[in-house]
Amino acid sequence: MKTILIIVVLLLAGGVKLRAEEPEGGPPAPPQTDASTVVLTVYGLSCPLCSNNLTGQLKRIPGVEQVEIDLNTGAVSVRLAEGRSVSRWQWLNAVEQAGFTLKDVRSAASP
Amino acid sequence: MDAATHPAQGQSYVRVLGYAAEYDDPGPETRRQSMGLKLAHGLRSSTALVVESEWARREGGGETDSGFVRAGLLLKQRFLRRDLGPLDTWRASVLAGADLPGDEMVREAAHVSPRLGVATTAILGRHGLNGQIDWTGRTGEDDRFRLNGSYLYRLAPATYAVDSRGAWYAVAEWLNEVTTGGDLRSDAVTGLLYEARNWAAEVGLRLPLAQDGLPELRQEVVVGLRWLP
Repeated sequence: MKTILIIVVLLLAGGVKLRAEEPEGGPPAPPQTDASTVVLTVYGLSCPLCSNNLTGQLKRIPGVEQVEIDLNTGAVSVRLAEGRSVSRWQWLNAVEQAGFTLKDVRSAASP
Repeated sequence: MDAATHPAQGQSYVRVLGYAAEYDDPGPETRRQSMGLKLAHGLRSSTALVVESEWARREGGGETDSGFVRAGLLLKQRFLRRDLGPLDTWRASVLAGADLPGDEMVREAAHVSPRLGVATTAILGRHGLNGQIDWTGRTGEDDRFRLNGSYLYRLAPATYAVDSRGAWYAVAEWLNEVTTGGDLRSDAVTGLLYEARNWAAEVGLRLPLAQDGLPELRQEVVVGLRWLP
């Protein structure tokens, strides 16, 4: 049993990719979104505390000023600084790093 | 009990738990107060490093002991994630690491004890389910298996709105421990949890269902705080 444990620990430490659902190589041609407010649809948000992970990741993207999450619909409204744009790949990467699934990205009119 | 939830990559959370327990055995009446500290850091979106530690004070039979119970180091690797809806998800993680022994009078084991387990979490609307199976190998003592389950029901809000800032949950846990020597304990925990956006508070009461060979619990009160900086 201890031998098995050592093997498992080594595999984990080596960063072996066990998850099959992670995107491989990202989306082929990331379109740019250029709007002052972008609405992401995100699945798997689970709870208020869990969704804070997403807020933290999105705020690391340069230009992101404010994040509002509607847990009921999965709508994540992100306000960008004027003149800033964020690629779809950046949105996808941030949502994945937070541990959730990005379903849609769309621009919204400025409030 | 552990759940298959992880901090995001590069993010951390802190959890502090306080316990006050009374035992009928060993001794005529033993009281034990302890405090646990847990730090988790997301190495990647699916990998987290968890550091745990526990201190305790035990009094009974005219004697008092206190000290460092154990420290634990765990890696959590998520191997399953199915996000089924805005809230709904099913996740599972493998946990691997070791417990380090603490001070002689209060420690759980005298040697480094490897740990291996699996935890799964499902959130479906207002319902949450967790399951965990865990093995701890203990040199010179009986190995320990834990089989734990919990159910959470979101009391409020019934439906989230954009301005929802937190949620109340009723919690029921079923905690089981069995050793290769045949010792057994099965406990039930009922409690209340409040989760805000970057902190959570919990309180619970643990009562014994069955016990054989392990210190006989009368009851235990648990309070906890979590914070995501």
